[in-house]
Amino acid sequence: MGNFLQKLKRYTGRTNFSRSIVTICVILVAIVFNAVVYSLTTIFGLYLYQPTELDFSLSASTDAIMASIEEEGGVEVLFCMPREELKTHATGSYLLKTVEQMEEKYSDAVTFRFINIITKMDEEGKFFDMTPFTKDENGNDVTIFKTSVIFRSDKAHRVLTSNSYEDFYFLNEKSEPLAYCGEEVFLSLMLWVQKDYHPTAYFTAAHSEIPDAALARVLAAAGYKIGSVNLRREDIPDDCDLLVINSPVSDFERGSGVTSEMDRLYEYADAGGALYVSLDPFLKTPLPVLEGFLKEYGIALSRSEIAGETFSNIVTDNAQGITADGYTLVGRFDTEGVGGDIHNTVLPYSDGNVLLYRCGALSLSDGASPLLYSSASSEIYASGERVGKDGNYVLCAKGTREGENGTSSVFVMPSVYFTASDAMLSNTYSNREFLLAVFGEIFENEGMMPYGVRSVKTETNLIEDLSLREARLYTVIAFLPAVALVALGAVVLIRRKYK
Amino acid sequence: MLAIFKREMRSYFTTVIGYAFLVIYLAVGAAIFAFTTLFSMSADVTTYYLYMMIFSAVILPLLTMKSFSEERKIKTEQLTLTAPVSLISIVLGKFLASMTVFFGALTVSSLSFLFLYPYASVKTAVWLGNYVALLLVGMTFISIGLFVSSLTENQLSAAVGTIAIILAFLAVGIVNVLLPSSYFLRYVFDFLSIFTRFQAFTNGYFDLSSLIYYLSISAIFLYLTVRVYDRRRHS
Repeated sequence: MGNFLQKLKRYTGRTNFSRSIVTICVILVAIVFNAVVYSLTTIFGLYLYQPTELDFSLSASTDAIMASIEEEGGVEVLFCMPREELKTHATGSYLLKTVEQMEEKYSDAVTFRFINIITKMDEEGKFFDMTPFTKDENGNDVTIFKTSVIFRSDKAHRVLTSNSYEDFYFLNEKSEPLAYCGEEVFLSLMLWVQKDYHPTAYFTAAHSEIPDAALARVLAAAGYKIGSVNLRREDIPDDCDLLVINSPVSDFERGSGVTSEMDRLYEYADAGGALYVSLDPFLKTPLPVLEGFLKEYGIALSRSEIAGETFSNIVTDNAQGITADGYTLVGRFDTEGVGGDIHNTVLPYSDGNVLLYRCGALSLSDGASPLLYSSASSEIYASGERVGKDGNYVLCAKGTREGENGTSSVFVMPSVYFTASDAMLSNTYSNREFLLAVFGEIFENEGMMPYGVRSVKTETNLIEDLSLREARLYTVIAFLPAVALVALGAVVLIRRKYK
Repeated sequence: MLAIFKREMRSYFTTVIGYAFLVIYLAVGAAIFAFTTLFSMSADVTTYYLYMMIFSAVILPLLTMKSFSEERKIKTEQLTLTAPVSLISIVLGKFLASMTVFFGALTVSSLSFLFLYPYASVKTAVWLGNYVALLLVGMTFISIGLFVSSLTENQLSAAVGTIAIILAFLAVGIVNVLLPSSYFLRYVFDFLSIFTRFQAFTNGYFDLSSLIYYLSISAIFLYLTVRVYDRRRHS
């Protein structure tokens, strides 16, 4: 063997051509070896070290929803990434944990498949045709990536694509994951693909409306598709089932001669369209046109006049509020009428009420029903002055308006912080369930809702209790090695020069 | 090999280049650490190591650019080639010297994360995973740098060429996103992408295939360096 290798070495060392061949062979062997190990790792998960397994479980309310899904014929969920690769994915690993638990408990309701989108083979070696998923229901192209997740049933399919499974997470303003809400997303999309009809909610634009990802998420969980409409330039689409006006800063336009925003809004309302409106009670400039529109539904933002100026009334609860300033307070459900229906829907999933922050008060007239009240000890302030202490102020309401062609409904929330992450991720308060009930019941979106499905708070990377002084001190310490090396280098090099 | 290693280490610390590399690396590392953690109030280690990977792509070629090209330029290459040392030993000696300097710089700059332990829940496995991943990536960059340095006697050309090849490897991961229709090409680019291989480590997984990937790239470029010198020796 040794003689053979020596002869081989002498032969291959002789010519440039043979050396080149050897080089190419070495590179090819390395590539093939890497490909083999890569495939084996994908299939068997060859890790030298793995972190500890995630620890969370499915919500109790999932049983009923999965029973309903099974009754309707079940669904299939397809991942475009092999299972072992998903395991090592920073955000995908949470999805895999949910999948494994669902596979164990609800195998009759849902089937999960992991497809390699190159070979188009699943774990069992069966071929899978991706072509049907490359077009959506409107015929538009859909790009399938490794991080795509496909939901399909006999009736419909839906492709969810994001860079790093962000759709399954509740994100903060820096797009960092705050909580994993994959169970809700899985359930809502499984329900979605089994429905014959999919309602659409359109958010208005061009009034500096606040982008509210949490609200969009709840709407998606309630089975709505989300779109956007600029009423200054376009009509409200015919497929609009819910128009969302989310905390506008500027008022709506009323014009003459040309079709204005209000013309479009009235046309929609007269046809019996549904609306969700949230208002910022701290807005310095009132919105008389929009508020005038809401008055036709029997709902007005409560205001007081102080020194000749009009200010919105802000509800505070110093006695029973959560924070010392009284702005963070608990809203109680109305136990009668529409509010009572919502309360009964939410009660099995949460015995708490809703959390509100910096909320205005509403004045109601005919056609409007209260949904939430403040406590009996609450007060209202306008421009820092107390203007009322009767308590039981209306914190949100539903109004109706008879139009030419139908009855229009509006839900009004006088707070921009109802969908803040603390409230929406809380297991104590029912903000999320309340909104699901509103979208499901008030706006007649039939079918099951993912009530009571909890999010899992991801481990926070936030630094706590670090003062600016300490941060500066640690920064200086971090720079010390570089400074020390400058000094050392100077000494060594100068001594060497003059040696 | 040990003699070559010692000679290279001595040359790094008796000339400006070793100190310049370490000072710049540590200073930029400290700045990135402060920016991504202390003043962002975040204990996320991944962002820091991602920035350091991109910075290493620019700074490591400055460490390797003189490895072979300087000897060619000042005509001492013949002394090295005729020394009673195998070519593999020469290449490995220079490689290990560069790795040692880089390892020292990376380790010292990574120790800054110890400051965060009293204030946040730093995931040690993720930290170590990122550290090992950057060490492997640095090893790859150094091997590429040595290869390009062996091809030219101009140090600037060596540095620029190295940066170009490294950026090409890094760009593969970005180009991948721009290929919507070809699954096969996307898979190949994913397989070659340094970013994708980095990912498992960032979640605390010590992935065998990624380890072998980085070792293979390094081995290939070191082998090519040996081949270049072997050809020169016989010409």
